Amino acid sequence: MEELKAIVGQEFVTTSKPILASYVAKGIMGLECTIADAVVRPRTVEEIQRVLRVAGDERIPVTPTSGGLSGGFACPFVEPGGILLDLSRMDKILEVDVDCRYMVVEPGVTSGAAWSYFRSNYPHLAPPVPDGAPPAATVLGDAIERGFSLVTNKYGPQADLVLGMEVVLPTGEVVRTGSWALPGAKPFYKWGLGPDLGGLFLGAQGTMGVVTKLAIKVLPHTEHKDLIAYGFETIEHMVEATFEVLKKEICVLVQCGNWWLVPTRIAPESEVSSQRDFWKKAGVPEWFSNFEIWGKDDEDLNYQRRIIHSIMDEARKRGIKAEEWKLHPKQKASRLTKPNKIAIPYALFRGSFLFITWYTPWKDASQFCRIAEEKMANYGIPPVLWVASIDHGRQAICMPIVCFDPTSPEELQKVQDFNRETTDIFLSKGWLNYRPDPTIHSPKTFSMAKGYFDLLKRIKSVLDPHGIMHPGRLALP
Amino acid sequence: MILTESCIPDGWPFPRWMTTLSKISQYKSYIYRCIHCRACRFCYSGEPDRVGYRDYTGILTNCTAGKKYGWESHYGSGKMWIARAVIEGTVQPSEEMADILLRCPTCGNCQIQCENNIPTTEIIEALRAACVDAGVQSHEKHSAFLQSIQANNNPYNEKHEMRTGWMQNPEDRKADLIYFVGCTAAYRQSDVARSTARLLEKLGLDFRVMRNEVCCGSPALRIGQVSVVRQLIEKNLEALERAGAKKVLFSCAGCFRTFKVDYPKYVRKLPFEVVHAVEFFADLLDKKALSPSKPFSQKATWHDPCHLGRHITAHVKGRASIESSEVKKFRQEWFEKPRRLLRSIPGVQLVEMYRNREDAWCCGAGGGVKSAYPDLASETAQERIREAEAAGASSLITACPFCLTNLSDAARAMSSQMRVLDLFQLLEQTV
Repeated sequence: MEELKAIVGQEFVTTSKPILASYVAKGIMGLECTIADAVVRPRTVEEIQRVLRVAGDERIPVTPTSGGLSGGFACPFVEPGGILLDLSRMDKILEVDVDCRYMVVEPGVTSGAAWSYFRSNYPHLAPPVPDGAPPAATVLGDAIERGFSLVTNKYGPQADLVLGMEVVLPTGEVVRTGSWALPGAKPFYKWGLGPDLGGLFLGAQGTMGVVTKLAIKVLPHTEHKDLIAYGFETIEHMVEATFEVLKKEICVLVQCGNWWLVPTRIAPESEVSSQRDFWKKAGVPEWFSNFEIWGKDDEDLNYQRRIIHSIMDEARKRGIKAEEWKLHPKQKASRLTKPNKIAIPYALFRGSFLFITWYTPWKDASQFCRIAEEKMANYGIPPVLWVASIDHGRQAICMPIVCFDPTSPEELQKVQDFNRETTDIFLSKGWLNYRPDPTIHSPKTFSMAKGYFDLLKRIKSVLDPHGIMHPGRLALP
Repeated sequence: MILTESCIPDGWPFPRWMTTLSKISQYKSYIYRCIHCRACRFCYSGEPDRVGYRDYTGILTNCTAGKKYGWESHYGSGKMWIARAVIEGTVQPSEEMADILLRCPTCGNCQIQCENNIPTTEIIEALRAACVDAGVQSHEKHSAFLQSIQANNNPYNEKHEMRTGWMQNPEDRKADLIYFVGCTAAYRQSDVARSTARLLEKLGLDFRVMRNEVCCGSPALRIGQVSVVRQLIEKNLEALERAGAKKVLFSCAGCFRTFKVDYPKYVRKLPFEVVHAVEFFADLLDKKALSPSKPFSQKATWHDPCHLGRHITAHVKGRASIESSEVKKFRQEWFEKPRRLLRSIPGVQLVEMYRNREDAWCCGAGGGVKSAYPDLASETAQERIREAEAAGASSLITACPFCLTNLSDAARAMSSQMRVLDLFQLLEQTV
C-alpha cells in the first residue's frame, strides 16, 4: 500500500471497505464479481506503469475500469480481488484531427462529455458514442469491448473504428498499435508495423494490459435525421423485410425487437400490463424495426425514406404484413438523442436486468429469437428480445433482455440456468457471445475451440508472465 | 447470506448494527434496482444536445461530493451499492462509512436523474440513521449542534428566548396565518425574517410569529439523528395548535421541506396547510394583491434551493414510475413561481444559470455539510457563484437562508462582486 501511495499519491489509494463496496456492480452485462482489496486512481501512464510493476512483483491481480458500465465485468472476478485500477481521472480528449478525422481520448472520457465537446467545438463531426448506453459510459470502454455505437449498422462494431491504442502491458512496458507504433507517426492508419497487435487488446476484457489512450474515428454529423419504424406480425417477416433495407446500405442504425421492449421499461411488473392485447390496442406491433437515417440534406433524407417505404411496399406484395408504425415526435426524439438513457429503465420491471448478447448472421436472427423466446418462457422470464444490425446486415446482434428480481436467489439461479442452457444451443448453431462471461460463455466456447484457447493462453503468458491482469475473466488464468 | 431481522433467532446476541437493517431493508427493492449506470451523477443526463454557454453546455457532472472527491462511493450510485453491501452484510456501519455518507449535501440530484426511480435521498438518510443506530460516533460539529438543539431548541447555541429577538413586540395571540421563521432566519439571517414579516404587514395580512417555535428538526433528520426529532415535532405541533394555525408560512426552504415531507411520516395528516413564501407570494401576485413598484435594475439569476426544488417535486411525484400530467404541470408551475416573482419587479432582468430547476447545482450547505465539511460547502458554493457570473448576472437571488449564508460566504471568499440576496428582502424593498 505504501508503494502504491508513493506512486499515485496518498489521496488516490484506498482500502476503505465502504469505498471498495461502492464499486461493485451486478447486472447489465455480468453478474459475477468480487470486491477489490484496494482501489487506485492513477492520473498518468507513468503511474500505471509503476503500479503494474509493483503488482507484478507482488503477484497482485489488477482490474482496470474506466466508466464501470459493464456491470460485473468492470470488477475483479477472482478472490483476492486485488487492485481495482479506476481510470476515471484520466478524462481528457487529447486531440481531434479534423483532416484524418479521429480523436485521441483517455480512458475516462465519457460519451456524455465527448458528445458535448463535439457539439460545442466540432458540430459537423460526431464522436462514436455507444448507443443505448447512458452518458457515463466511456468511449474507450465501449471501443475496446467491441461494443455497439450510434453508427454500428453503417460502420460495424465500435472496435472497427479504432485506429490505434496505447497500452501499458502487465510488465509495465508501453506499446502502441497501428501507425502509432512508429515513433512520431500519427494514429491515422489502423494497420501498423507488420502483423497488427491491436486485436489482442480488443475484447480482452482487461486481461492483456491497460489501454491508456485510444485513437478512434470521428464521423460526419448532420442535423438531418429521421427514424422510420415498421411493425410486423412475426420475427421471420421482420428479419426478411428488414434485410432488404439493410442490403441497400443506407441506414446508420437499425434496431428491432418485440413488443415486450415497451412495457418492461415503463414501470414495475405490478403496475404495467403484460397483456399483448393491451399493447396491441395501444398500437405497439408484435415485432418492429427502427430505421435511423442521416441525410446530407432533406432531399437526401427523402430519398432514403422512399427506399425504405418502397421496400416495404414490395414486402407487402410478397404477403408480409409490414405496417408503418407512426411514432410520436417525442418517441422519435428519444431514440435519436445520443447518448441516451433508453437501456436504463429495464430495471423497473423486476428490479434488474442482464443483456445476454450474441452475434449471428442476420438471417439467423429469427431462429435465435424463436429459441430464446421459448426458453425464456420456460424459465418464467418475460421474453424481451432486441435485435440490431451490424455492418448493414452482415451480422446481427441478438439480445435477450433478461429481467429478474435481484433480491431473489431463486431468480438469479433461473437466469444462470437459462444462460447455461441457451449457451449450449447457441454455440452449437455457430453463434458467438458478444462478451463471454467467465463461468458460462467462456468455458463452453473455449472448450469447443481448444487450439485457439491454448494459443491465447500462451500469448497471455508472454504479455502477462505473472498472471496479474484481470485473472479469471475470459476463463484465462 | 442476506441478513434480515427475521433471520435472527429470539434472544440471539446479534450485533447492534443489525437492528438497523429494518430501516435500510424497507428500501431494499429500490436499492437493488441500481444497475450502476451512473447517469445519476449528471445534470441533463438525458439532454446531451442542450446548448448553454462557455463551459456550461450539454451534460455536466452535477454531484457535488462525487466531483470533489472522485471516489465512486461519493456519488449517489456508489451509495446505493454501499447500502446493498450493508443489507448483504459485507459492510457494516462504521465511522468510515458515516464519513463518506455525510460528505454529501443530499441535494437530491441523483434521485431526479435516476431512470429507475430510486429514492436515493431517503436511502442515504436511512444509511446515516443506520450509522447512528449502530453507535457510530457523530461528527463533533454535528454533536455540537445536536446538543444545542436539545438544550436550546436551535442548532446555533443561542438562547431560546432570543428566537424572536429580531422582532420588536412579538404577540401571543391566535392567528390563522403563522409565519414559521426557522432557526437560521431567527438567529443568523434575521433580515430574512424581518423582511418577510414586513412584507406580510405591508400587504395587510394578519399573521403572527410564535415565541415557542422550536427547530423544525431538519438539521437532525438530514444527518440521520432521527431520535432527536420526535420531541421537536411534538413541540412545534403543540405550539401551532395553540396558535390556532390554519396555514403555516415558511421563508426557509429546509423548514418547509421538513414540514411538508417529513412531518407527515410522524403525524399522518397535519392539521394545517403548509406553504412556502414563494408559492404564497406568487399566489398573491396572480391575484394582483402584490405588485412590486420600486425598480431593482439588475441582471439577476435565481438559485433553486434543493429543499424547495428537487426535494418537493420528488415528493409530489412520489413512488409512481409513470409520471402523471398533473405532476408534470405541478413541476413546471412550481419552478416558475420564484421566477414570476422576480420578473414582476421593475428593472429586473432575469437570466438563467445553465443548471437550473431540477438540474440546479446545489449550494453545498445542506445535509450537515456546512458545519462538518466546510471546504466541500465552500467549493460547491463558489462553483455556483462562478456559474452565476458566467450567466452574466450581477445578483444571485434565492429563498433559503441557508443557501443565502453559504453563497454569501463563498462570494466573499472569492472576492466576487456578485450580490447574494434573499427574494423576500428584495420583494419587501420593492413593494
